[in-house]
Amino acid sequence: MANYSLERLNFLVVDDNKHMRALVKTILHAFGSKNVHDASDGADAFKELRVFPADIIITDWNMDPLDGIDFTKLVRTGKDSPNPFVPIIMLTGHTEMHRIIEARDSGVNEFLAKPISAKSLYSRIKSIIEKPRPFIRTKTYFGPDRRRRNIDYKGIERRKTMLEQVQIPVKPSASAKNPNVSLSEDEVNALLNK
Amino acid sequence: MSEQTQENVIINVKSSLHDKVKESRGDIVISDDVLAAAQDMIADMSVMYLDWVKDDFVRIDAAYAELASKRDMKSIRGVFEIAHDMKGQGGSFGYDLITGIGSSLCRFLEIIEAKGTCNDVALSAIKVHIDTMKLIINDDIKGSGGEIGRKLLEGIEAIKRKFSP
Repeated sequence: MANYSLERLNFLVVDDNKHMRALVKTILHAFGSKNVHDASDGADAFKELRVFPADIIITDWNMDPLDGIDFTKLVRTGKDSPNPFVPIIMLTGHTEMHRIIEARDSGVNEFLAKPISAKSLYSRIKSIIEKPRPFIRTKTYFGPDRRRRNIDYKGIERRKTMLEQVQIPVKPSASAKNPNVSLSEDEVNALLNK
Repeated sequence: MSEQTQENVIINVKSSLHDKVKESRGDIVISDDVLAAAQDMIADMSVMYLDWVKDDFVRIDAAYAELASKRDMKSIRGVFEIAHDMKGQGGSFGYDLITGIGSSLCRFLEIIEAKGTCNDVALSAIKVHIDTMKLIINDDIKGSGGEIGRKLLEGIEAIKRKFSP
């Protein structure tokens, strides 16, 4: 599909920095979205979700008292969660490999590194709309399938830790040896599309 | 609908998003023109960004002063939080070096935090990062900054090398 109208989609933007909230809201309004609510931390956002049926949540990571990771887990697994299946985009300045894996394992659908552009935000929204993934419930995880490729596998899942599965198809870099090194956008995408 | 294995439950969720965007009849569509218009709106916010970043400098100067006085890890975290915000915003408005140097400062602060002590050399390196970011804004150095940008980054790397954790 070439063209969308995002007019009817409800967005919830969660960031403790009011300038980032303003930036994201400006982009969403430019996309035609009419219903964009915001919250300054995960706790406020969870309250907002009870009265605002968000179609897509865009959340920061670092926030007090409830950060983006704990907020995502609360949305996914909280007993009183209004919508455990709502798509979540993690928008953060953290681009280290271990952070990306932590975000994915908390149950986010997409990961978007700051600084953002209109194009980068749209690409994540588009991915959520065009490539919805099934949800997986295991003893230790509930969220969108962390594998994005369709694999016709009938057997028992025998995953170990996600770190063991990471094989970034890019040339060996410092980040491959040190999980604290920031990844480029291509590396982030490669990791998430594994 | 769900499929269950011995360990996992796979839940195929019916997403209404596709229908919601497809059924809309609004004039605004996400075409290349809309994307370009959205990017233009971000560019229009650059004037506001220059006010925001001035506030960030006031906050990071105060956080740095507290760090210089206390030399504790709580103060390191205070500087980190502001640098992290600055890193996340500069590039959106064309100030890529704010993002680059902000990122460098964040990584450096994490090293100090892991070490647990902040000596004079570390303090100087932090100050150089902050002063360089101020220079970028004052001189309106956008993008990579060309030759000036390269020299600024070299200077940052040089002072970081003096720090031995």
